[in-house]
Amino acid sequence: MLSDTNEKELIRRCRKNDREAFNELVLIYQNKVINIAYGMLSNKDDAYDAAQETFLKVYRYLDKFEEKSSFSTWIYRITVNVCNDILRKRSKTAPTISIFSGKPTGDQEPAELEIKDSSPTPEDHAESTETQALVRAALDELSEEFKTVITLFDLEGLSYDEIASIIKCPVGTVKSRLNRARNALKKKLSQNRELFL
Amino acid sequence: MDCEQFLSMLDRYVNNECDEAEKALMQEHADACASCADELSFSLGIKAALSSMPKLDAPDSFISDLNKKIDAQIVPNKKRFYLSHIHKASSAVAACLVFAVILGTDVGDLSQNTEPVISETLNVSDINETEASEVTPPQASADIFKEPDIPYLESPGNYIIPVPTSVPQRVYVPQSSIVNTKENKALSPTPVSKQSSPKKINIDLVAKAASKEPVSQVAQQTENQIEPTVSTAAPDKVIVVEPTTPHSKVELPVYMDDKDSIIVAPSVKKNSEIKFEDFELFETEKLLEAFSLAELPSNKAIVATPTALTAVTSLGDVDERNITIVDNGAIGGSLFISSADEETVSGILDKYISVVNDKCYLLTMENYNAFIDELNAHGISYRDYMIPGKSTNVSFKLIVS
Repeated sequence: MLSDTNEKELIRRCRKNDREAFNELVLIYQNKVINIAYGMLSNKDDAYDAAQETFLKVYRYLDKFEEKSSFSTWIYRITVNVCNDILRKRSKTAPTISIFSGKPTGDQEPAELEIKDSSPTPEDHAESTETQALVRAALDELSEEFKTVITLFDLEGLSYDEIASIIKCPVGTVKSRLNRARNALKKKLSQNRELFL
Repeated sequence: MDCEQFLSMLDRYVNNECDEAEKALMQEHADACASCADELSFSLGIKAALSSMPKLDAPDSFISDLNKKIDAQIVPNKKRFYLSHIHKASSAVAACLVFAVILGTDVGDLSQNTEPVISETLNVSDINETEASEVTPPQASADIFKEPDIPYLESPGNYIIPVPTSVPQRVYVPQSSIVNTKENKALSPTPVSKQSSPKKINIDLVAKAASKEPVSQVAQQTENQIEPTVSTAAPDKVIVVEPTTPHSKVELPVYMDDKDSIIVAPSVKKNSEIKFEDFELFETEKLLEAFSLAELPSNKAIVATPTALTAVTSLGDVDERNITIVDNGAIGGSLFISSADEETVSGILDKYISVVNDKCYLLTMENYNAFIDELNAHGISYRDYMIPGKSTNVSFKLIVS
């Protein structure tokens, strides 16, 4: 990994439109950015597009980077935001969800949700085992918030502090959100529990 | 150690955050309790699976593809400007406007005392009926959560987008009314009143545009139309507040990507009307610099995205849940819970709330009072924003804790 001084120097050169310096920065961060995107989007092509979009934004907005957070925090924050944008666009094209069909009573159960099967096809995955595929599918069904913390902590190994900086919330919130995210993941995987024991 | 303690420490154990003494206790309990041992195994198994998920490598062409796009200045995701529809629920305007009202220690008109819980009623005038009539309202109940087709503007230019004086949940603006012009005429401010034409919002995209291609859109005169003029004046300060849940959307005309931002509005006095021109825009970090909670001027209210809100309110080690309250198929309001007591909150939520695919929680009006009673009994802070279903003037009761 590049030292802080070297990274600062690269950023300084980037600000002077040094494309070589920019390409060096991309080389350093591209895999991490792609994998954060893959964790959130569960689709290789979307992850690639999101990573490209992230670096385009980095290129465009580098002069707005004020160095109050680390550069990595800044890039990863952009990545998360780009992915959340994509996830929201995906959810806008989802079909109507009918929740209640009439006046709710004490016994009323919500109507069944009709959710189109938009799970990734095998070609979209990098997973090679059934367990990995199940985890990927379960991850894909989580909310944006939960996907984000699981991706950053469990898939990418970032610390609580780093994650708190990236998603701009207190460390305590990161921890509790991670807790809830894991519980949600466990619920989804509970039918195949034996594969994880 | 009993099972309850074991399960409460499970996450820390899996994260390797327990000290030696705690690990020993956990192991001892797992040795004696098959059910907890099973749960531990399951948790460790999932963690192992997550850690071993295959990683992607950037393709060889990644950097060259990127450089081509930079050179061509092709931007996959341009800034989008969403204009969304008026949404009627039942017979009322379902304006689920989320105001996070953060008041300083001296709140002036807004509080009678210094008790931590402060309430004020804000009346927001109804949306413009002329504009409302241009929309076919969605079917009630079943379609209540259906997102209408939203036209969006993808091309750069100077746009003038008519916006009603009140702050509705959603505003329909006929796309034909959106003007992109390139004339360099100063835009004179339009007086704002309930009866007059809607306020003009001048969005300056030219400085930020990646493409120089013009877009031609011609304004058609309708009752609430404005003349097609453009200005090189500084853009109005408008920001979109992200929805708190998928079903309680607040959308102002401009969607800003990348950053969470905060609007600081004037005092939310009773019967007052919030006007766009009164908003100041701050980026989250700059707002935090500008004032801490204690220093926040008493006449300021903040409208914020949930993420920005968390940062600004410095909720500390708490966990916010956004809950939509549903009343006979219509949106009745929304509610935030803030509490560090994960277990108690989960217990209460499980009792009253229908969780819908992790994206939102739904609470029925029928259970609402019982739910609130139980939150109060446990001393759990909450904020709710209820909409009286039948009135044409939408009122908001703001409870700040």
